[in-house]
Amino acid sequence: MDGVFNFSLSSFSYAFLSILLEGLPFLLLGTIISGLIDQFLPARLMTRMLPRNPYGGALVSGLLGLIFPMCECGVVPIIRRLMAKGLPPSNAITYMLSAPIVNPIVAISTYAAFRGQSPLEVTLLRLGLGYGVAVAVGMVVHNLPLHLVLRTNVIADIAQPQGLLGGTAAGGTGARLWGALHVCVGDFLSMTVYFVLGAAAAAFFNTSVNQDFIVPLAMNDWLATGSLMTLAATLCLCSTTDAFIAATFSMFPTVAKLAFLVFGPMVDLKLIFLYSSIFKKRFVLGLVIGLFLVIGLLCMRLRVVWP
Amino acid sequence: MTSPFHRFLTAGVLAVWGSVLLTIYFTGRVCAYLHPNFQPLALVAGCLLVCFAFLVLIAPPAANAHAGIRSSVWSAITSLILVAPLLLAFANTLDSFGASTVANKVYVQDLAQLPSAQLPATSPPSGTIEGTLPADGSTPQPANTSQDDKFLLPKNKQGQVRAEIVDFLYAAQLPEIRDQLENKPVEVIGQLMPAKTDNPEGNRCVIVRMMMTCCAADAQPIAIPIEPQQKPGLADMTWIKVTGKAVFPVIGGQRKPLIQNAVLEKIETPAEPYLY
Repeated sequence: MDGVFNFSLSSFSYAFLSILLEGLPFLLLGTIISGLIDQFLPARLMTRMLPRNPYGGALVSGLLGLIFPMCECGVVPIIRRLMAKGLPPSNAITYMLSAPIVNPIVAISTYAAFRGQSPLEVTLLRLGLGYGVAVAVGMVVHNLPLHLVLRTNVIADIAQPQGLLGGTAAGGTGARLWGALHVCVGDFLSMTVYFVLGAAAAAFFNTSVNQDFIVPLAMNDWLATGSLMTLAATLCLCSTTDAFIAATFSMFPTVAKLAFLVFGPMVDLKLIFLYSSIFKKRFVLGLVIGLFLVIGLLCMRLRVVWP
Repeated sequence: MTSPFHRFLTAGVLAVWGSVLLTIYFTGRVCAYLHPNFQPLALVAGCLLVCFAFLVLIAPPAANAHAGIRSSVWSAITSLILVAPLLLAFANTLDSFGASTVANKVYVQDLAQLPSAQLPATSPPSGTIEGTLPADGSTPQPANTSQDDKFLLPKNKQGQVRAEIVDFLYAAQLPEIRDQLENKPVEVIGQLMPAKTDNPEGNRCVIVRMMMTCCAADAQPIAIPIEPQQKPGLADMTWIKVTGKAVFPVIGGQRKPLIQNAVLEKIETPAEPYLY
């Protein structure tokens, strides 16, 4: 077995480009929707549609992915825009964490990938855990002061009554479309900076770390769960297809794979960078650690009742 | 995006990204990066980015000029972060993984570890599942199609059973496939790599094919061991055609494929280097 690290520039470049090529279309889609939301979604509409009770709002926000499915790359610019349109941050964060998991595409792909490995149980548990954890995080965020959660410039955007660029633009459809272009391009550039940094980190771990050193961890339940969650964070897989990877970890217990499937769409290297464009660094750190512990412990608890 | 500087900078960044995506797509290199399902998305994104670059140049000024644009220096720095790594990677990549990177990955040598494998009996191996067509670009020639509902692996002109690496993993699990390969002369193509495990006498190596789920970064090496007649004088990751006798010994209570008396022949990179 060779050393733990083994770097190759050409392989790194190859993996880096492949991650960019895979994720960029979804990021672009997210920023296009973000621009359209900014110009065409009436301010405060989301607030009026969701229950006034913040906890009820979180419960409903966690299900929005069933109607508006979005992968983890695209959802970040969207929630930024939705918050500027009046969606409470607690609800936005619930949607951000749940939408990449609680959506029909992920349900189908998870079921298909786990054929022969309790597909219905894995799919239901994935969606159920993802929903529960996202709602819980939303409820916690509701009780936090905004200045501890959001970056100053994002708070300033929310403070403006109609969001960035003056919100729904006055004038005709043409003017609004030009406005949407400005917002879309601005969001795309600011988000892609973080995406590039995250993809570089993911490509480094993907190509340079000898995965044979990870395999022995599968022998211990705690280490297996923790190591698969760490692997999910470093591989930066798309939630629509990560089940096909998780299903291949045959030597790992199912609960560890479940932890991989729930944690990965909520936290990975590129997402940490993307989150940092909206949230305070300390909040991102707390979110990552909290999600790691909560999801890990929940899955280990499941190990007791569902061996 | 009000000043000419910001306009041209923004349009330039978008144009570079769009051009890289379109270049990779139209030169066919996209096949080495993305699963076929994702390839059209790269084309669409590339076209949109080039269009946006043009539209940014002709767009009327934004109602509110801040729009994420800060100082010119900051804009230049972020543009550099956006463009420089992309172009450096584009210039440095060989559109494939090197031997050290493949060695870093865990070899898939069991059907249960195969992405989206279907067990036990409904899964047809090569020739009918996507991506396992003969990798030299040729059309598979079924050796015999007279038996209804039974999949038969094709044979080459020398009468050797022509199989893909995944077929051997299926064969280790499914007797009806194994019957077509066990103790028979076979031909398989892939890339040469050293054996990591199950090599007690040190005379084995493995032949691998990379299997992609979404993009190259998630590709896993599918490997089967071979025992060459002579020690191969070829570099790791060289594309080879292996001919030899397929056997399926039980090792550690598990049946595993092995190609004995293997003759290795260097070949060109196939049109479809990946399995999907």
